[in-house]
Amino acid sequence: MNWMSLTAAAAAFCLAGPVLAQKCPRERAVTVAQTSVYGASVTCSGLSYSIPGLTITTTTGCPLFVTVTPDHEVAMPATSETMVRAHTTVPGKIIFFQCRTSYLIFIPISSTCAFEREVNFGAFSRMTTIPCPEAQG
Amino acid sequence: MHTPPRGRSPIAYLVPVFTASFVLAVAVALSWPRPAPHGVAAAATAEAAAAATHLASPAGSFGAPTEPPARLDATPPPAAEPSFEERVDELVRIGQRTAELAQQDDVDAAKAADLQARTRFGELMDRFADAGERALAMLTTLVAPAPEADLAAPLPSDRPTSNGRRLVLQLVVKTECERRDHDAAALQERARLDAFVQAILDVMPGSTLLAEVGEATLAEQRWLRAVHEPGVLGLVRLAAEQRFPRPIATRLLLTLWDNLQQSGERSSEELSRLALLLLGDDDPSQRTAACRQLLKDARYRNLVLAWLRERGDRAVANEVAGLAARELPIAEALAVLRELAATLPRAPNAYLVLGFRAPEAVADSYRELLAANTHANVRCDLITGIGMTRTPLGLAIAQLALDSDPAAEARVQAVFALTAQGGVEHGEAALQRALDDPGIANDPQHLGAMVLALQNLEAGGDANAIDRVGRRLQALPLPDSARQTLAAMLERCLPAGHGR
Repeated sequence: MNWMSLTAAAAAFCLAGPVLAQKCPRERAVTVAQTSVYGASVTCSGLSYSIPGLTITTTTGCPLFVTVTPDHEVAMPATSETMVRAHTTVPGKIIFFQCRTSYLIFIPISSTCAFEREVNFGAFSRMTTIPCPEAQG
Repeated sequence: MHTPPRGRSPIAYLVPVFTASFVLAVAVALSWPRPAPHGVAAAATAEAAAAATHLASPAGSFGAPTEPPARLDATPPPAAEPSFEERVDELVRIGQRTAELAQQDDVDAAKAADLQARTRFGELMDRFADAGERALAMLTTLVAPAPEADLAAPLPSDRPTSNGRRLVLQLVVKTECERRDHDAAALQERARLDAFVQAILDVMPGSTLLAEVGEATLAEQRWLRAVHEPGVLGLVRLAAEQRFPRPIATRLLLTLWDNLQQSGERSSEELSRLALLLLGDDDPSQRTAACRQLLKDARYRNLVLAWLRERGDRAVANEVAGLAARELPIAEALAVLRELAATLPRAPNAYLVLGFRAPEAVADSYRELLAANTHANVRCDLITGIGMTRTPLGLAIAQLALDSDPAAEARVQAVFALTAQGGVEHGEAALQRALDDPGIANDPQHLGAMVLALQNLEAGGDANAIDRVGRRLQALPLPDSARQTLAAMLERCLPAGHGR
């Protein structure tokens, strides 16, 4: 092995170290709790509607839609040699409502804020934090 | 020449007699009791007397008084009259009957019953000067109803429901505020209105139902003023102790700040200075009010955004995103959301609100970012915001994204919009197109999203389309959970055993 080879090997080692270290993204999964956001409301009687894990209520008025973002995780920087791995995809939902009333009734007992339909508007990942392979090794 | 006889004629004697009689008749006529107006029988004197002392008609739908009202304390009704509670229950029964008639499509009878409800309500408000206080007192005796049971079940017209009582009493409380506001404007004296608003604030912590009625009455209305600041801050403190609903406390605080500014009780400058002080407050309601105040003021907007970036708190950023989407002018809201992207990579809820507010502006913003090929996460949210609006523009933007957006995440988002709003035909075409796309078909997470998008086609009920897409998905590297979801969907949609 000549000097050239040794120099090249040393340079490769110096460069490969940081590159290998960069492979671990140093991330952790942080849970974002389920949220629901109400869209604009129309005058109507109140609403009570339940989906698993969430009850949507209003005293008066009928929201035209409610968006429900499920519990999910996002990757955040971590100090340890960890990374995140997605294991499930869960839907974000929009639930549309409609005020059903035949007349503009003074005492709005007959108007009902009724479920119209529900659609998935997007996908959110459930993730876990796992050690980076290099850290394991 | 003929000379009349000396002495007075009989007519001369009669004139003073007639004159005296006429004067006497006029005096008697003037002093005679008048009949009751509008033909009300004299027997109804109790009602008439009460009506005479009664307080001016409330503003709005119950007619404006012709002169400044002279308020007196409430006159207790005679024993034979229906009590306040009985009148409320009568209104609930009329409301329930109206609902039944409406459900039976008996339009004329429903209209007549509704008119009767309005008349009876007007009578109740006329009869009780303290209707608002009585309503608050009655509300404290109600237990929170189960709305779904009350509203969805057949409505028995013989028994007033809790929800019916709440609706009527809430209407009374609201009308009382309007009546006193009208009087306050006429008399330049807000004491009675302020006292009633304070009474509402005082009872609100009593129960969820009272808190909700208070919110429905006071939030985004002009009643809350500087005099109520301690009361509102008291609710904020209770919310901090988890003894009062936080969203209601926040909403009332925001309303108070709006009213302080609009009424001139505090200038925009004063409020902004206060907001700067409260920006770092630990209390979420005060912090929200501060953020909102500063966001609305262009001079301080960048300061709030810098503070948010420095803080890096997603929950606060999410809250600010919602405020911006709901309340700022569209262009400014879009700019704020884009600035927030550093702290809050995805904000679909805020963009959905914007999409329903101003689909054109959201579409323009997407086209602009697509042309520049920047802010991929924001593009995803813009596609969600516009694509879920059920408009031709929304579908056009979603199709544009599926065809042209270089980011696979954005194309996935477009598939959601096209399956949710485009019907089976657009939806299936979008899914097939996405599965032809290596950027999507080779990524298990994106494939998991495609299964969720396929669920949107279930409502359309086209089993063949679901079968075609489902079979393609089954042949791709789906994550286990998505594979199970897909199998369950095929089981539901296809003839027995076909989906297995």
